[in-house]
Amino acid sequence: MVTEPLVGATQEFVLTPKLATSWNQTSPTTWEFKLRDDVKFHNGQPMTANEVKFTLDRTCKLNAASREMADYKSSRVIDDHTIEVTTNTNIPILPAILHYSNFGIIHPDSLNAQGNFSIPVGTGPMMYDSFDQQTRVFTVKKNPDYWAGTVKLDGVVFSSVPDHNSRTLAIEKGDIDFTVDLPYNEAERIDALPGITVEKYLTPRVYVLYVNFDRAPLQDIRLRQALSLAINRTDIVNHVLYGIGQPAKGFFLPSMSFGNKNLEQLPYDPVKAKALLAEMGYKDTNGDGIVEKDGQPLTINLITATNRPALSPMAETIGSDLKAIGIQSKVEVMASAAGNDRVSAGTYDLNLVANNIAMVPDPGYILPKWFKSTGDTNKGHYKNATLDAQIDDAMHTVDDKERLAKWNKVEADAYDLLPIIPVADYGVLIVKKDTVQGYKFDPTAHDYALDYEITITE
Amino acid sequence: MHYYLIKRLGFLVLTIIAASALAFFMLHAVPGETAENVARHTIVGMEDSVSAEVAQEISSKYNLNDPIWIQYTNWLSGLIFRGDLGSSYVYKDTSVMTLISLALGPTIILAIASMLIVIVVGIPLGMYCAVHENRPSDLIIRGATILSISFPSFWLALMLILVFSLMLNLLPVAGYGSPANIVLPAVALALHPTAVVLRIVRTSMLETLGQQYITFAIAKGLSFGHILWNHAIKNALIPVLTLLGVYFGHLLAGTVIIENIFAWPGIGNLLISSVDARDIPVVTSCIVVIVAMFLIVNFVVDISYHFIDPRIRYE
Amino acid sequence: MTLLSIHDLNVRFPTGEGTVHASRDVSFSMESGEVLGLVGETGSGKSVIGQAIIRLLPSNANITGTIAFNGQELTTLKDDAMHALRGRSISLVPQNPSGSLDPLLRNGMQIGEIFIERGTAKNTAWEKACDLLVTVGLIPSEQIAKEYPHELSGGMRQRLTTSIAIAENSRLIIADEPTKGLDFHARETTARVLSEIKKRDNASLLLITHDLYLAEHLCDWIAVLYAGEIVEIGPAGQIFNTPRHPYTQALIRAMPKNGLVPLDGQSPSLMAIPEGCCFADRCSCHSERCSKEHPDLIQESLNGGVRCHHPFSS
Ligand SMILES: Nc1ncnc2c1ncn2[C@@H]1O[C@H](COP(=O)(O)OP(=O)(O)OP(=O)(O)O)[C@@H](O)[C@H]1O
Ligand SMILES: [Mg+2]
Repeated sequence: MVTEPLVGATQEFVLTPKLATSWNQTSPTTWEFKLRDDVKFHNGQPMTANEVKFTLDRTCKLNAASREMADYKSSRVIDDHTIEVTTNTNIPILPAILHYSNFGIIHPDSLNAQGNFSIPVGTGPMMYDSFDQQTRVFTVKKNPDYWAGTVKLDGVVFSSVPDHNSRTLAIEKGDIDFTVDLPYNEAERIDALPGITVEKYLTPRVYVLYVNFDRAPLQDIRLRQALSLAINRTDIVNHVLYGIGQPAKGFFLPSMSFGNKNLEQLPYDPVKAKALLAEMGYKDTNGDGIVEKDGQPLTINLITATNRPALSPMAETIGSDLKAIGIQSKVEVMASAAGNDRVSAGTYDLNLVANNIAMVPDPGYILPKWFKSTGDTNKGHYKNATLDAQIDDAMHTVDDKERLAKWNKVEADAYDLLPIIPVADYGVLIVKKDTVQGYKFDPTAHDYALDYEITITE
Repeated sequence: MHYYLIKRLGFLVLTIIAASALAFFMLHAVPGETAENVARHTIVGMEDSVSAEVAQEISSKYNLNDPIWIQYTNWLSGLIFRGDLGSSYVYKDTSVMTLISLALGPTIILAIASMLIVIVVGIPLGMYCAVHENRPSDLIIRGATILSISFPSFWLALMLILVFSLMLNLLPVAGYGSPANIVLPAVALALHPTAVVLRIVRTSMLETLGQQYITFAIAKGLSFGHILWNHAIKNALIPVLTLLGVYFGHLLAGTVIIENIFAWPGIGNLLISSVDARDIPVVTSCIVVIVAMFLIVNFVVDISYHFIDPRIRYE
Repeated sequence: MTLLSIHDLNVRFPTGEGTVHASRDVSFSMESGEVLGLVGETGSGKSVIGQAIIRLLPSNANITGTIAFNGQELTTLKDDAMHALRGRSISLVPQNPSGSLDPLLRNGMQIGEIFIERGTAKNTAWEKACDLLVTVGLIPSEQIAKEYPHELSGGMRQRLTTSIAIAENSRLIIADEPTKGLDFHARETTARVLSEIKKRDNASLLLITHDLYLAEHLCDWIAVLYAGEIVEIGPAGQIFNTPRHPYTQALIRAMPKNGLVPLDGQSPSLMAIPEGCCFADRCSCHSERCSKEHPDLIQESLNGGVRCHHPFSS
């Protein structure tokens, strides 16, 4: 809200101009961005290519995630409102990466004499007012000179109230106007309170099961299919997530323009799941309800972390779904650091996580991480040369349409192969007083963002 | 006495060092790579997975590849020789000293406010109950203490908010800064210790009132008020002092639940968020500060016995 | 002039197991300047009588009979009037000095607070306290005054409580075993102090004691208590020279100078008082009548009598 990136995105994750009016790839490793000429920083200075270069250089120097994604080499000021960005390799999704909040354009005045970041001087609808180091209360005030329109709110105070009950009580009392993240089971009660509305949205995050391919017999596609068929996604969304979220349909949210629209929700069919297990040679020979092969019961160790509230009940539910088809499931819930250790040690079968899928609004963000044998997030060590080749091809395809088609194919193939088993899309709750008007949820923002048209009526 | 003081102080310092070592080594023993955890908490975009290069970068920046005991000795020598607690891994470039001093103020203020409530309410009411033993007022007050002891503090805190913020609209729900903000957390924190102190004071007072020196004081012809003030209260409070010290120590350690509910920027919140992010210098330093405060409070209590109770003499 | 006159005093303590009848039909009187000794073995009800007079029995005690002090009836006296008597007209040397001193108060203050509460300046009160310490032989008084009770020996504490009892010119001093735990020398001092006070203020002294030697030297009258009742009462000389009750005789025989002859047996429980003579079980000359019929106190004079069916005659 204080800073803005060069590239914007719609609710459907389609890129739009923001501080840049247009861009095009001039060679496999160079891009040219045309900048708006009517934008002023909060200190009154006009925004030019110099500040953009300053921001890109600085962000890629300091933020490892940004540097790695963009594979940034350098940038060059062509004129006041034109900048050329050079990458080390061909990164067709560079504009999408630059949408990312880390690339919000700042003025060098943001740094203090020692070169450390002190206060953000950006171009957004709100400008920095104060920050209390002790209470972490952050206040911003209206930018009277906003390029995109008139800002309706005079300012916003962000205070951190970590306890959700206190947040609810604070909005009930009227101490605050807007908050997020309630316990799911509270949504209905709070929504029923006079003057307060609770809205549900999907964020670019999905609950998925990571599969450990170093463990037999998970390499067998029939077992992964059986696992997927055993999971009652609709029930999980209704009862574990209280309807906040939605059964996965492909790997992306339905609202994302770049998802494969032909993919359907994975079916729930325990009978078929059992048949697949039987085909693999697993039968319940001793009548204990658990299937065996060569005298060994089929056991699945499902781990998950406590860092997101729905993970633990969801894991328990999946555990009992697996039991229902005769798999002996062992569910373990732990602190996320402990979970990471287990993943590094490879001592698990399935790992239930809630993973961000569109930090960068492009399929090229998550699909390679997940499905390439060298992918960052491919912690289950899935290896498939065909898929690797398809991904490499898609990543370096310059034509947007063609690239999208290739990604859709990768998504569909992975949906069949199930290196990762999707469960549900992640939902969030926005709680606001009825006096707050004009709020638009921005699913592409990494954190909750307030739009410049938001206002409070008396 | 001097010898005793030196001995106690020496012991205090050793305990603090031992606690810091324990905290330091335990944190390293907890599952999860420190560098990886720090990255997840500090680098936007790395919540789900951390690349090896980044982890390596963080490790070398904070010398996380050194053997643990070297890391610890570095930290400890910084503390001893430079009075420096190191810098935070998470709040980049902020010294731990700054973070702790920011958090300590709110915690101390809250602890003192709660302690005042405990003392001002718990002690006189305990006395009142003892003097009115088994009368209706005594029974009502004791009933209330049972309630306050048996309900968990977070629930009481929420009830307080419900009544005083929402229904009566007298006080803010949560936050820090204005004097009105301290009332509810201080009361919420004080309820439990007040109830316990009240009951202990009552029991101690009844026991004292049954002592022969009270009977003899009556025989001396002293007035009831004089006996209460000059004999009963002083004697009855001696066992309570230790309890007050322990409670004060606890309050100074910060209280995660109440700080969380009231968004109070105290040391409990700092500690918990730092444990989560594996911010080892901050966690270790918080523990050192908490242990030190606890020991100092109890040390002061012990020493004060020396002045209050002539039967206790430290040699 | 009669200072204290007790008539038919009965004290009962209701307890969980039954009623303890600690004091039964006790009657005696004291003139100003006289010393009356209450003797008897442990549990015979000596302290209960003392506490009944100064009204310090626990609130559950059931008291009947009359206690007239200086013409005032104490059992029905208003609380504040009683309060005004305590420490000024009637004072007490408590039985257990260690428990009776506030551990947190300097010795001087234990005495001085009496004066301070009545409006004396702090340093004057302190000086008066030191003088009293000297009186009871606690020297150097300045230093002892600054110390705390736990720094004193048992005997010193005993003398400290005595000094408290004589702080004001009480008409009646109830001294509950003032020589308990004292060595010979200290006993002499206490005995001397008490008799001096008696002379100085023409005070009366109710001396509760096991110490028959002290009683013989100090008392004008002796009342012998057994199981809560007076079994013999009379002038001290008469009691010691020609005791008439077998129990009195046994007590005197048990004195060190008479060869420490112990008395066998136990006194009856105060919750189940026997029908006949309470001492019958232990008596060498009891008859059948003794076990059946409770003997009355054969009152020969106001403070003279014996409760026995077969008293020795003089
Ligand atoms: N508050 C009380 N409740 C019940 N019984 C009591 C109470 N006070 C005294 N008694 C009983 O009354 C009896 C007489 O007690 P008292 O203290 O007068 O004995 P004593 O003659 O002074 O003995 P000693 O020489 O040991 O002091 C005892 O049996 C005692 O147990
Ligand atoms: Mg006694």
